[in-house]
Amino acid sequence: MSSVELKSIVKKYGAVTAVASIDLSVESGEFVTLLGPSGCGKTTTLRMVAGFIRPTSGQLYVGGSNMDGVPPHKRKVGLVFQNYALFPHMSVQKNIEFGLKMQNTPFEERKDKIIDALDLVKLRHLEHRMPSELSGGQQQRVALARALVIRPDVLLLDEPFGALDKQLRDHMRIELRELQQKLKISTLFVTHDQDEALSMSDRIVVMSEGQVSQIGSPVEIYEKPKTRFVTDFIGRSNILSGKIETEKSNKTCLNAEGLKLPNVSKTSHKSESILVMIRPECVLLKKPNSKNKITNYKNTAKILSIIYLGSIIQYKIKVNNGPALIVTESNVGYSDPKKFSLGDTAEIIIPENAIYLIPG
Amino acid sequence: MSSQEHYGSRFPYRLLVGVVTVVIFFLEAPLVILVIQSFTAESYLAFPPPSYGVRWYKEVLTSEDWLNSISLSLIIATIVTPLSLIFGTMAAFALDRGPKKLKNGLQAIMISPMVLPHIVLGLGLFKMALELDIDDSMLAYIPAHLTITIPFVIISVGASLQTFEVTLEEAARSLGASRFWAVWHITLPIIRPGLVAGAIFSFIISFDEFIITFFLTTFQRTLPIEMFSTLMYQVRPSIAAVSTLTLAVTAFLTAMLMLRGQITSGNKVIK
Repeated sequence: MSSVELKSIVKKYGAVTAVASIDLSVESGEFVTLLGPSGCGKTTTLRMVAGFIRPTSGQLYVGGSNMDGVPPHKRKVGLVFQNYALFPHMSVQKNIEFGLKMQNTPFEERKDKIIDALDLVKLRHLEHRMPSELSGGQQQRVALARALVIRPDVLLLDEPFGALDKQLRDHMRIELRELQQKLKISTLFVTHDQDEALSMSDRIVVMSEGQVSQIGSPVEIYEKPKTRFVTDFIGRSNILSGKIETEKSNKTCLNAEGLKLPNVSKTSHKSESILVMIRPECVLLKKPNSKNKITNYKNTAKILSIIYLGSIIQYKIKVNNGPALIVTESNVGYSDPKKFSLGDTAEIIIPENAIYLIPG
Repeated sequence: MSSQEHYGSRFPYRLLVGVVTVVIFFLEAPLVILVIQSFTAESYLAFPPPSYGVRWYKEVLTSEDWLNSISLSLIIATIVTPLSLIFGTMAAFALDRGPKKLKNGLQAIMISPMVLPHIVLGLGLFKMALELDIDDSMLAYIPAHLTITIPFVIISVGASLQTFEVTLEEAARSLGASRFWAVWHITLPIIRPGLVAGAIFSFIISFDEFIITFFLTTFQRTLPIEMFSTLMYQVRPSIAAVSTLTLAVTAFLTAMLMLRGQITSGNKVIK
């Protein structure tokens, strides 16, 4: 049974369409991320699941029941906000107790559940503090404990790491994912941060302008993006327009703005216009005249710029008679960061499985 | 603060101090003189009094006329305050949560009794009270006072609601609280400073109200009206004693309000 199911959900504000027909399900125990730029409708979708916004049309199910006309407090959802929304006039313990009180949980049972929830987020020692006396990360954990203690059918997270600094964010990311897997709680997570989406999700729903661009696992989304939007939004990539040509030897090849590549497409329709995606980390740079056995296509390029980023080195190169590309190289100990200097000529190798075609 | 923090010559700073001193003097001197005069032992008002005593306070607190008017004013203010708080808070919520387009227009209408000439308002209410045959009764005083106290509640509660984080209410609702209980458990405790301010304003204004009540009374007398009619015949030190008592009540409530302001601003909600 799906924990959350959206069937052709639409939300319009007057003439403006915020969400245009979304179909989506979160299976039991699954971590699904709504990923997209601001204004793509991801938060609106989450708020419809929580019950704060009523869909214009479509069906919404939480825990198997139809949510049409069901107010937020009768839905079994746990919600964590970007600003945590801890009740400032209540201690940590009272914050966590609130949902239990609203459910009329008996006092003894409440006590046990609060302790369990505090242990879960490792904050047992802070139960009597006020929210204003906690750090951002601690507030985040209290908000999580408060949402989880009522045993919701689904946990809804609205950019929960937005207000944390980078190091803490990375840490909380791992912690939240571990907690989610331990409790096997269905989770719908909203973010605009692709790193969060890629590292935490079972499935990612990429949204753009109120529509779903693609649904897939992090690997599918990153390696096999279906649209130009997804390609642009997730990670860096070189996107070139390409066409299929026939060489003298009667073999077909792929010409991407002058960069000669093997024809990885199954078709040989010459008229077809396609987009060629090459991730920067997939391109290899070699000193000229080094032995190259990976591909038959020899392309050389000039180094236009070198940016040292610590763990990686990023080059901008200009392929001879072809396009400019971004190339990144891992800064592994044995590679010499000064392998290339500005203006050097390098031989570039693009493995066949690094070339990905998107219908243009 | 050292005057060196100011740019240029020290003249403007001294001018400021001078102006403020003069203003405070003119505002407070009459009150100070009145309070001192109320402790006279003579049967006439003089400043400074030739001898001191509390005989006029004794007279006021044993006179039936004064006691009746004081208790009438206290009863009215005590009924008006909670009603004003309830209606004003509801109106402030409606303005804060209702359609944004209507907000400014509606707010202007709702707080207009605050800025309308009270004599005009009193005349209108007088005509209405006569038509309904409720003049010279609580049924007239209480609604009349509410028209001028509610705007103060709307403003003080409205200001608190403006800084209130609505996601807190949403969090409560997602945790199983209906809209009403979310407001009850979360919103009201957090906007309490605004509620307290509104209540104290309502009490002081109702207790102090003269013009509108004047139109509505015939035989009954609230404290301000009793003071006014006493003054019409004679200027006796009992007036100074009553004034001092009124001043004490108002000053006490205002001090409470300011103290609260300090307490709550020292305990600001941290996001």
